[in-house]
Amino acid sequence: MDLIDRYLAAVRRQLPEGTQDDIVQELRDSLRSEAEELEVQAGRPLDAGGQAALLKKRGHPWLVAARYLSQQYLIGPSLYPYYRKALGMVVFWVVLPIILIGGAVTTISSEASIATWISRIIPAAWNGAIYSVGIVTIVFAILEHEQVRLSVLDKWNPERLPDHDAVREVPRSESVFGLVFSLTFLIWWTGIVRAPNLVFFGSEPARIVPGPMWAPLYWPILLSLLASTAIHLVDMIRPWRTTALSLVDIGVNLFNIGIIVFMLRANNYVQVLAPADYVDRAARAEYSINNTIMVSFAGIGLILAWDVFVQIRRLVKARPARAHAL
Amino acid sequence: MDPNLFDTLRLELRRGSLTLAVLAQLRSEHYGYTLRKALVDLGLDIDEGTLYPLLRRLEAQELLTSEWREEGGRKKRFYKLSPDGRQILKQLLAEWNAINQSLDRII
Repeated sequence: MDLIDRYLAAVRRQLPEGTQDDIVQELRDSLRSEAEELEVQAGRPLDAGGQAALLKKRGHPWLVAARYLSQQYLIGPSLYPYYRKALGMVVFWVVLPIILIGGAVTTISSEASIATWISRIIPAAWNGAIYSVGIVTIVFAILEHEQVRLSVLDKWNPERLPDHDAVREVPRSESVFGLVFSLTFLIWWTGIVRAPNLVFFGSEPARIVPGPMWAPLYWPILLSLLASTAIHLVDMIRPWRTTALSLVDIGVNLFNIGIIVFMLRANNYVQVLAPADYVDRAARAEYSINNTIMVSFAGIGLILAWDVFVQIRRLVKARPARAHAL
Repeated sequence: MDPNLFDTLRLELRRGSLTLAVLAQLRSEHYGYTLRKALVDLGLDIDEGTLYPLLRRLEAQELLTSEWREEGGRKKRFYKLSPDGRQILKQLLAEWNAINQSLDRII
């Protein structure tokens, strides 16, 4: 078997079944024809060096075969800029909290040195970043696939475009980030992906389990996440707010505020389970985690309440303007 | 300035014209090797890695027909323009001429 045969065999391995014989046969003829021409010019048979030069000019077998494959995008050019932006935002909002909250918890719950702290937090932050990248990529790959399948961007009617002054336009970055964030939370909430362990006692990771107060909240939170995901999806496809969608969004936010009020009345969000030697430290970690969660949810509740207020004010202001325009 | 900018723009400029050149050259029958040589002799350099996948794509689009025949002791795949290909080529050439005329006026 000479170099040309070995080259063709390498190309063949990369081609889809059913096309291999045809393509390889044609490439063989092309290569042999060129080799014969070179032999006539040189007046002698082509040696291994000559064959290698010829094959080198044709390109790596992997590249040659790839040119015969149909082009497919995992994430196409229309979504890629948003994918990059979402990736940056989500990684930042996952890695930063892990470092800050995890760092605080680890410091409080153990007498860890800075070196130990770094050795625990960096792998946790790394895992968090990998999870985030994976989830964001899957979400965008699904969006790309559905966009192609449903031809959402082809089936649009210019007459349905809103009057710029009469509606609030939703920035694409806001809807994409909201969608990725609610889907990420949804995936975590349904238990498809588990968060990394952040608290260690000695070399043993502590088990952090949800407290009993979550049991009645599972379905309400799931419902809220599904509604948020749907709203962000609509915002992404049709980036302006109708009164109806604004009212639905306000309703979902009020529902979320209700959930948060219910949560703030409880305080045992998580329990930290640790070996008997570390009971005191586990209690301290549990206390700091629960306080952090409570403060975070209080903050989220205030943000949601502000959002509801802004949306209602916007709707009230828009009504007279629309009436005046009519 | 991006040092590869000229190459990128040149590639974009050539992409459509290569398809047109291949279709036009296949008004008479060729197999891949002689087709490439004919194009190169006429001043249009095209590498094999571009030509052969392009031929397959044009055949899948039913603009070309092909058949395997033996010549010079080896099996070769001969391509020629299909009736649909002739129709499309006619339209593309009209478009090409219109673009050329516009460019002549612009430049």
